Formats: sequence, C-alpha cells, structure tokens
Amino acid sequence: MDSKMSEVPKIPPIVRERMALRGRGAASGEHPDANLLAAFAEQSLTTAERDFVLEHASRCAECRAALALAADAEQEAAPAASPRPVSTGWPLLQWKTMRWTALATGIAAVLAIAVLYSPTMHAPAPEAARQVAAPPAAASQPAGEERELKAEQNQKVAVAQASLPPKEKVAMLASPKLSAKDGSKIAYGIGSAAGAMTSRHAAPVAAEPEQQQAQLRQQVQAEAVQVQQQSQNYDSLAVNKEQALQSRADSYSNAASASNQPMAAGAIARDLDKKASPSAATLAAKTAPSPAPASNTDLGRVTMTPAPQSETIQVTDEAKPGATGLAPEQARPSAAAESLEVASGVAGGARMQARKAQRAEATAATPRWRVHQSTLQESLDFGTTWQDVRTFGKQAVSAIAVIGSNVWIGVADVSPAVLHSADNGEHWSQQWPQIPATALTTSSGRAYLGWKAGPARVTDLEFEDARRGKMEVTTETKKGPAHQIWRTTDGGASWTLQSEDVN
Amino acid sequence: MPTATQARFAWQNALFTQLHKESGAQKYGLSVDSFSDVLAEVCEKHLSGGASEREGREFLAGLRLNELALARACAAGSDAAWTEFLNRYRAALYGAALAITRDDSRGRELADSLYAELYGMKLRENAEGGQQRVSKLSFYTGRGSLEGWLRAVLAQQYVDRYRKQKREVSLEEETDSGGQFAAPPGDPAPDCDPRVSAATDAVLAELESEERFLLSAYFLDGRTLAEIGRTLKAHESTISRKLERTVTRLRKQIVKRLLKTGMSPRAAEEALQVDVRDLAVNVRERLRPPPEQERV
Repeated sequence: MDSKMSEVPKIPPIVRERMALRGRGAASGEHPDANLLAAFAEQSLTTAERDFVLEHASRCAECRAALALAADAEQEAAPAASPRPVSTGWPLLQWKTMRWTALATGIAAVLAIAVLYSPTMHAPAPEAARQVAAPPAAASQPAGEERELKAEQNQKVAVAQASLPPKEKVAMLASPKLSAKDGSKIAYGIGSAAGAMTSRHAAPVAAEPEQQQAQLRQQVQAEAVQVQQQSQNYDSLAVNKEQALQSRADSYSNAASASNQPMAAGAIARDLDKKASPSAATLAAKTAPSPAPASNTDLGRVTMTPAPQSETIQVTDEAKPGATGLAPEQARPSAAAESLEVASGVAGGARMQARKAQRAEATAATPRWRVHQSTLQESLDFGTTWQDVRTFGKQAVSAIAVIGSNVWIGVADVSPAVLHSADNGEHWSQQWPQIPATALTTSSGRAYLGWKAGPARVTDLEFEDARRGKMEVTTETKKGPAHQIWRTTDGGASWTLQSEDVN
Repeated sequence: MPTATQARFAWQNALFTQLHKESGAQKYGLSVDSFSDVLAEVCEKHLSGGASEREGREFLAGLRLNELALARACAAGSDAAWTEFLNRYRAALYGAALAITRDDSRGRELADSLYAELYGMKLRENAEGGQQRVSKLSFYTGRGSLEGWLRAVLAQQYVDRYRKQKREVSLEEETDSGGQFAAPPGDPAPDCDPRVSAATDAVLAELESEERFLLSAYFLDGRTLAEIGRTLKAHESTISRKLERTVTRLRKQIVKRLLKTGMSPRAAEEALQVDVRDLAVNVRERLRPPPEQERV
C-alpha cells in the first residue's frame, strides 16, 4: 500500500468482517458484462448503470480485479493522458476566478495600447487646439455665413480635440463646461485614433500570415520531398529483399527437387511470400511523414516485417545443411513421456555465429532430431552429441516428425501448435492452428477446436511423405478428455479434423 | 407474421437506416436490415421496455456505431471487416494482454485464446439445423469503445483463468515444493454482541455504492489509492479524502446506532475496537478444562 494509507483511518474489525461476509453472497449470474465494464471505464454509463456496476463490484472481488486490470491496461495504452488537476483549495487561484481576471486584464491592455498608440501621440500643441477651440469673437455676419462658419469651426474643434494627447482629452471630457456634442467628438476622435491604429497595425499583421504561409508551404514541400525519397528507399529495400528471398527460394527449390521433396519448395515459398509482403500497417507507419534519417544505416534497419500470421521464428542455432530423407523413426522421440521445450528467440550473437560456422563445415553431416525432456535437439554428428534447438516461447514439444529436410514438431500448451521447418530447422513457421488468416475447414464448414476449454497437447505426429500426414491432439472439453485426429495432404499447410473421440 | 424489421416503429426504421449510413457498415458488407437487427438487439438489451423515442435516440446517439458495425461484420464472417479489425486492434489486443498478465508468454496465450474466440472457432447449431460460427464479437454492443471492450474481456478471462488456476494447485506439486497447507478453517467466530453486527450491516447498507466499493477495494483487496483512482478515473487525493470521510462517518453512524440500542458510549467504542476472532480464542481457552480434571 502507498504512503498515503497512513492518512486513511482504519476501519473497525467488525466492519471488515461484515464486508467480507457481504462479498460471499455475490451471485455469479449478476456479473456485469464486458460492455458495461468498458463503458464504466470510459464513464459513459448512466447513473443507474454505474451504481449497478459499483454495487456489484463492492461485493465481488473478481469484478473488482477485472476493473482494476482493465484500468491498468488502459493507462499503459495511453500514457500521455494527464491526470485531472488537483484542486489546490485556493479559490482565488482557480481557473473559474482567474479567467475573469485574465479577461479583464486583456481588455485593459488592449485599451491601453489603443490609447497610447493613437495618432495623437504626436499631436499638435494643445495651444493650437485651444486656439481653435476658442470661438472667434462674435461678429455680426449674415445668418448663412454664420452657420457655415460655425460648422467649419465645429469641424476644426473636432479634429483638434481628437488630436489632443490622452490626458488632455480626458481632462476635457471631464470638464463640466464640455458640451455633449464636443464630448462625442472627442470620444469619436479616440475611437478613430484607435481604429486608425488598428488599421495601421493590421497591415503588417495581415502580412505576417502570408510570410508564415510561404514558410509553411516551403516546409511542406520539403517534407513531401523527404517522404518521396523515403518511400523510394523503402521500395528499393523491398525489391532488394524480395530478390534476396527469391534467390534463396530458388536454391531451396533446387535442393528440394534434388531430394524428391516437391512440397518443401512450395511450403518455403509460402513462407517466403509471407515474409516478403509487409503488413499494410507496417508500410503505413513507415511511410508516414517523419524526420529524415540521419544516415543510410537508419533506413537499412527498416525491415519489412512479415505478415502477423506467418509467425516466422529464427532459430538461434546455426542452419543445417540440406539433408537427404530420414526415416521418421530415427527422429521420433524414444519415449512418449519425453517432451521438448522450445524457447523463444531471435538469433543471438556469437553463439549463433559459431553454430553457423560449425554447420557450414559439417556439410556432409545429416542432421538428426530428437525430443529430450520437452526440448527439441539436433545432432550433426550422427547422434554423438546433441544440441538444444530453441525457437520461441516456453512451450513443451511433445511430438516430432521428419521427412527429409522437413521437420514438424507439435507443441503442448494451452495453445497447441504445429511448427514446421522446410530447411532442416533454419526457419520455422507455425502451420496449425493458423488463426485467423486461414481457417481450418472441414467438408461441412468450420472446424471445432476444443483446446479453448483447457490445456491441449499434440501427442502424435506422423507423416507418410512430405505431403500426407496426421496428428493426434488430446484436449479437455466440457464433456471430458477428447482425442482428435487431424490429417493433411499438403505438407501441413492445412489440416482437416478427421475424427474426435470424447471420453 | 411481421418480420422483426416490420415490427419496429417507423421512427426506428428511419433512424436505423440513417445510422447504417453513418456507421459505414456498408463497406463491411452489412446490409441495412442486418445492421438494423443489431441495433434493435442492442436497444432491447440496454433500454427499458418503456423507453421513449427521445430516450431511444439519445441512447443510439451514444453508441460507437463504426466499431459496432466492424465487430458485427467480423462476427458475420466478413473478410474485409476482419482485415480491418486486425490492422486496428491486433497490436492493442496483445499490448493489453501483456499489460494485464505482466508476463510475455501468458500474455500471448491470453491474447491467442481470445483471438480464437473472436474469430469464432466454435460451432453452434442454428435454427435451420446447420452449424453456425459463434464469435465473441457478436456480444459487443457498442456501449464503450471496442478497444475498451477487448480490455475488459481480457481482464475477465485472466481473472477467471489464472486466478482460479492459482487456487487449484496440484497437491503433489505443492508438497514437492515444500509448501504446507493451512489447517481447515474452524467454526466461524461468534459475534460478541449481535447489536454490533446488526448496526454495522445497517450502516454499510446506507452507504453509497461507490463508498462501499472504495472500502472493499482499499481494505479488503489492499489496493493503493492510485490504483483505485485509475479505476474510478479520479485523482488519488480525491480517493483518499473520500475514504477518510467514509470511514469517519461509518464509525460515527455505527456508534450512534449502538447508543440507540442502549449501549453505553464506552461499550460502543470498545465494541468497534475489538476483533471478534480474538474473543473467540479467549472463550475457547476459558472453556477448556484444566489438566487435573481431565485425568480424573
């Protein structure tokens, strides 16, 4: 528990006991389903639904655990989400109060700027305004001319007063002698000055977006060029990779045809096709605009990841040379109790290099296979010494079949699988179950896998040749233990459930 | 006999048609009728029978229509939908499984297992006598995001599978590993005073559901304030304050009820501090006869 627990007082023991007693009464049929739990986590439930979930969870430890696990997983998936701000308890510093202060400050600043930078900053001397403001001595003049003169004077007053410095204007505005008309002229002058300032300053401001737009345009163009270059590089990488894989496929085909194993080439080609076709998501991620790599080596590390379904595994041990056909019995496990443990791994460092060198030297050796204590082992010296072959995971290998350079192993776990290598263990792919790319089919529709209900083991693998084989899967179903027989006629690319015997 | 589509109200049909367009279900191969059936099913599940048109519209407006269409199209066997589902959610699924299990192999197992259920490897006989694929995605109703739903399903499965497996440990393995088994639980400890348990039950019942949840999560499960905060989407300081208020109020209310039953304040305070299990042991000690009497 965290340090804050000390701040939370303890509950009386009787309360803990009564709460635990309440929890024992949680009925299994009332568990909220995943839809409600998901909506609860996203706070999109109604009040009544939320209360229902909380009420149930307050009594059900399993649902509490599920809610906590889902929340943890959500947080790990979105680590950028920031927690809600903690209330400091200082009302004056809270946003509700501060926003009005900020608004008022902004308005005052705008007004101050408008006033300070008005055109009247360099206004003529107040004397001129006062001279103008003082009406000329009254003289007898004709009425029309008098009116015109008065209008002219008023106009001059307005202009002069508008050009007064701010302090003068304020003083005049405050003067009791100021008429409403003159006051409005002064105010209009202030407004005009502010408007003039705004228009004066608007011109350069309007110009700035154009500069910014030009800069942005240039930036976008540069990025577009980078992206184009990157995509070209990726294309060339893909072409190179494809060519390399194709040449390898050709060499395997030649080796396979030499050893009368027509299906090996096809299986390898399928495997290679999967490797060569990157997933759309991978390509999309790679071609998204991003900063240019520092050097070509960065691009070199951008590999085309295989489609997710291929599950290609790199063997840590070095590759074995091509081999002629081996009698399956020679590679079968000696005892049913033996099982192999196949560990996960991408090829690792010096050890693999050493093994590769060893294999390169032992070109004439025929690799032999066995299952020893749940571990797949190979021997390159006719069974004198055996080395563990680690591929992936911690699954126990329980069955093996070998036809020439084709090796099939059955793994026993909650998720049973058949792994296949067509090149004497250099590369592995998962053949069964191929979920979800290729569905296992029967003549009447989809196949049923009982392994979902519990642990399952591939207990036997037998191949007549490189194409035809069968496997036995033992699993636990709701009805009891079941033994399934699956058959393949294409080297394991697809399997068909032939029979199921439920005890 | 009117079909399900015809039996719906006219406003529902029009709204469902509009929502079908908005959801993009067409590109997954879901027809208007199919998607309308899905929406009707979701409404039936989550809305009360007397929901008005306005309530129905509001409810449907809150659904994740695109994800609902995607999920149901996957369940119906649309390859295009499944491809999109894989592209969008495969990484998230495995990431969530890893985050839940904190173990690479277990996480992969959990995700693989759910994958098969989502794809629908299980067959069920349909009304026509044939076999129909059952996909777990057909249970998604669009109330929350599809990713959130996947997380919830993973969490539930993990709790069901691995926590139960923890309890069902092989006796042989336990013995070999040197584990010792606890003695079978004895008789439940008797209440020192039934008024205390009654008052406690009554006060617990009066609490809000969230308060009861907080007490259970913190005191029974031993979760941290931060963990509870993540679950309830609140800051841990908020959780701490709520817990403190709840516990303080709890004590006061229990004491108040005990006082009403005629208990003295001191006795009420003492009753809350006493652990009844200790009392039960003391009683047993007192009831055991002395050795001299046994010989006789």
